[in-house]
Amino acid sequence: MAAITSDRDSIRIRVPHWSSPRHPIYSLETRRRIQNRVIGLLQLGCMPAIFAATMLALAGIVGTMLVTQMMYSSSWYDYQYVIPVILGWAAGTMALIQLGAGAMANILVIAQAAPIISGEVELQSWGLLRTTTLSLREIFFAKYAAILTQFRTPLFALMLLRVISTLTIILLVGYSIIQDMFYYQTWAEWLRQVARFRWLPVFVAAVPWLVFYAGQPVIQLLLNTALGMAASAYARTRGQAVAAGLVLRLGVWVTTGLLNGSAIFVLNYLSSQWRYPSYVGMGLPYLPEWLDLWSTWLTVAFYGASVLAAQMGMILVALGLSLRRARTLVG
Amino acid sequence: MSDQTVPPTPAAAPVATQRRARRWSRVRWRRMVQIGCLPLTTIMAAGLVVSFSLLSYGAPPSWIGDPRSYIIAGRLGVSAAILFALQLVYHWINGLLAANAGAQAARGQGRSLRSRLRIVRRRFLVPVLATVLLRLGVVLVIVLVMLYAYTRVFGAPIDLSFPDWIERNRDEVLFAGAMLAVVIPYWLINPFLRVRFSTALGALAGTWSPRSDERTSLALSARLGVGLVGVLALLWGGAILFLIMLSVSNPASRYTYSPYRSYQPLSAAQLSLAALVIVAVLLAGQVMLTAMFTRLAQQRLGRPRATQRKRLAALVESGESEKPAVPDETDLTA
Repeated sequence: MAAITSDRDSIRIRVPHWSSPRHPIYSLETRRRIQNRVIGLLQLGCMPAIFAATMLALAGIVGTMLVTQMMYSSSWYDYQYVIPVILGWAAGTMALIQLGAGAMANILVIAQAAPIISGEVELQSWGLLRTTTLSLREIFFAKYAAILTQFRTPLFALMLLRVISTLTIILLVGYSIIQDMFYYQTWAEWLRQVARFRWLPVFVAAVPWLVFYAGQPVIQLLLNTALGMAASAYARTRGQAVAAGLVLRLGVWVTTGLLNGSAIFVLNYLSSQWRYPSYVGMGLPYLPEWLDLWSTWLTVAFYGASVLAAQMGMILVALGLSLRRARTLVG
Repeated sequence: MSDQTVPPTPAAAPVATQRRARRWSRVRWRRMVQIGCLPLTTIMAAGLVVSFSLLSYGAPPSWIGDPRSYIIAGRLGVSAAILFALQLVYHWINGLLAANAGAQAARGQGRSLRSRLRIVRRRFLVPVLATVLLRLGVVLVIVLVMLYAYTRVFGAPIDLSFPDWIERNRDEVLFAGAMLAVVIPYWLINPFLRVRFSTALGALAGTWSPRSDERTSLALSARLGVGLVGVLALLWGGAILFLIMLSVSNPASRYTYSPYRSYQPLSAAQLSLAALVIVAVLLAGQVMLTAMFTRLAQQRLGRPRATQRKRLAALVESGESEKPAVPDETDLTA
């Protein structure tokens, strides 16, 4: 580990040696211009495209809804309904933009990562690289870090979009709380609800899911780069590596989708057996309310944490396999 | 073998000639835009307005009681919508192009940045005037609406089917009209301010990269990002404000189910005042931020880049000699 002095001398950020600009492999890979012009343009245009799509969509939603409401509303009373509708549309549209932009970024990351080792093998420079004093681990992780660095701009845009959509959803929740709680309950009733801590299990479950949601762009970048490097290590040419990387990503996507669907189904089934034993014919009494609440939300929290851990595990496995394969490569 | 003269290929032409040819082409293109922008905009806007008006409101349906009001109101509405949409497109594209031009101007060591930005702004004068022309068209349509609705200049007043509250609260409408008289001048000069702001913003964003294509990407991102911040300010600001108002008082408790005695937390006068404050804040922000961004861009260009500093530090640490600095590009005609 090396200490890199940042622009201000007072701030010192410790980064691994292989991800510092002084490392020759990292420096070469980060400065290397993208060979494919289309990929280069897509990479550069990613952030403006995300911002433009979000801005135009939100402006369109706000403008259309407000104009429609102004034409047909008779009083201010109606606006309390239109604002949650606008917020809901905005959140949904941003989710769609995230999906599209995320998919495009995934493909770009794999297209960028896949040729990074296979290209060296194809050009027969991998062997030369291995004769230097740099260790395999350093070479491998310097390349990995360089790809991550090249995608920091799209990553920033995707993270920003996550933050914006999260805040919009929080506002939407605020509106539903105000309509359900303030208007239909007295202050005393509302305070009693707070004092009973019924919100605590929901809060506990929300934390891992919030981390999961907010961290997805970073985790997806790490995962896709690792998958791209795995494809790169196992393929002999750049073309093969790109194709293998994209197929691998698609395979992982389909598999995780199926696994998640199955896990949700099984958990739902087990939960219903546990929570409603009389209903399913077991003849047992229903659970106490607190146990029902905590067991449900803790399951949700555990599931969120498990998915997060599985994604981390996949990254480590892909990196470990790639490193192991790279050790045996000749070229 | 015959002694044939091989025509020079573009690849074989000297680099300076190629560059001159490219430059000539760019200059010619810019001149064409400057010459053709205003006439083209006028013809396009007039063509769209006339064709859509005739297509949409050519003949009134049989169930319309007052065909004259129907046709005039419809055509005025269509005209206003087309002109508004066109000016919006022009305004948006001008901002993006100005940001890109500002980013490309952010070269050298910052001493000539203000002159470069002035040249960029001068180049955008005609497209900006086209935007102002379209906005004047919108204002003209609004004036026509008022004349048709409230005076006998063009015959009997027509029924525009305004919302009930406008008919009910004429005094407040007049007050809102006075507020519009203040807001519209700002709206008309806004394209000039937007180009100034966008060039400065683009220049500041462009200081983060020495490469031309990256500067374009950064400038567009910055310009679109600021637009996004504006939309989010409207969305979140409005939502939070309304949430606070709804928390303080439940409108359902005051709702009378009568459209003539509806609950209004703010009067038209208060709303107009709020609009004026918003315009003042926007105006001050555009002017002050432009100056700030230009100054920041100059300062950033004046300093050696962070990557250069790191490289120099690495060279000094490794004991190698220092490489020559990047020459300053002060030639404005380059």
